[in-house]
Amino acid sequence: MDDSDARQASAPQAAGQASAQEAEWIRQIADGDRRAFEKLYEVYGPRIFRFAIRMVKEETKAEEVVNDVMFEVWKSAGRFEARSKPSTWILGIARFRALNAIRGKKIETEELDDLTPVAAPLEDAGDLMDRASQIAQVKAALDELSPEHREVVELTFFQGCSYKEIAKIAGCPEGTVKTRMFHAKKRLQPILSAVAAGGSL
Amino acid sequence: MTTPMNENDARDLLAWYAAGALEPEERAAVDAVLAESASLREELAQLRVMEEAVADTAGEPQWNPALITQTLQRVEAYEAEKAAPSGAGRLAAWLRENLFAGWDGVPTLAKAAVAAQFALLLAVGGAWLAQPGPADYGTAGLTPNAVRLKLQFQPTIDEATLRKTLRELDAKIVDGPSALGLYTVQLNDVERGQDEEIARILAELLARPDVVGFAERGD
Repeated sequence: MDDSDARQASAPQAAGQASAQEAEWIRQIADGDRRAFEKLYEVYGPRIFRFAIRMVKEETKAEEVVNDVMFEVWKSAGRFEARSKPSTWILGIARFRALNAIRGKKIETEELDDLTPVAAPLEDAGDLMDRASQIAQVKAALDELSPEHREVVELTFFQGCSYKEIAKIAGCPEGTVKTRMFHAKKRLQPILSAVAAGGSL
Repeated sequence: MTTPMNENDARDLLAWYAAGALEPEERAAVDAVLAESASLREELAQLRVMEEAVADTAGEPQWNPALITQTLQRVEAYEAEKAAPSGAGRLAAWLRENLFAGWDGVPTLAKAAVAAQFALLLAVGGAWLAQPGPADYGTAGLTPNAVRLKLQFQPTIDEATLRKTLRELDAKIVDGPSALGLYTVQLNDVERGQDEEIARILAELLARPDVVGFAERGD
């Protein structure tokens, strides 16, 4: 069993309560309630920003994504039917906006992306690096993932989404989500393995 | 009673196990495999490193809470325009916020001006647009098992380009635009399972950024 079991056991109930509260805010937003909008913004603004900055990699564009997503939430709140969780709906809009923001850049295809592992930067190779430096190098490797792979990693580990939620957010089959995670792990395996083993990079 | 899971299936779910994002039954099944598999425990340790790296925001731009002010100003402007008595004003507001939403690099005032001109053109041409069009341009019902794509056409393309694109695809619009400006397009000569052909069509569409801003499979 895992150290985080206790936290995870109570997580679904807390998440369900948060979801219900957020759905209620969205209903109020549909009625023009600015205060409910501000509450939802306080919860989702930082989450969308973190997702966007890692996808778009430009602060100004990431802020534009947040602005566009929350404005879309305001306009579309009346059409939210609570068939999915508020987080799935909002992150789905965020994904669309983030992909739009990066569409002018070259997006690697999954096939090309799968060919080689992400190389670990080799500065200080051979030395035992401190943990912060190792994590910084893992982050640099994450930055080299394709948008399709990066979004699955971010939605899983930062946003706490299940693979089923990610499939809804990305509009793809659940199997595709698992495959993308598989390839992301495969590409990062050399550096993850080295850090997990506690050795030098 | 937990349904037994094999190691490959457990491996597929391991990232979500690490993230605490599995259903209780799935989690219990992965726990059982983990107890027996050293290689899976090793992979879990690697995923913990990935999780730690994703959670670490050091050195990244930080969230600016004041951003809400900009969005609220945009909301107020939108609500004010919606409430305005002028139909052209409301149409221009809708066009600026929907049709031109992804128009990066163009000053806001220029967007507003173009939206207003476009609204006027639509008003003048409304009667013409209301006439029945050729069969390849109308929306149609969804066919079960058909292959559908979600497309966002660039706001700058004209009707002739739109028709030409649909003819080349041998496709028809069956739904849209959505709140995000997406159209659902149904392909006539492609069936589900022809994944390579569908991928080729999507690649061709995405290679024409002057026509299509976004394209993905939608069935």
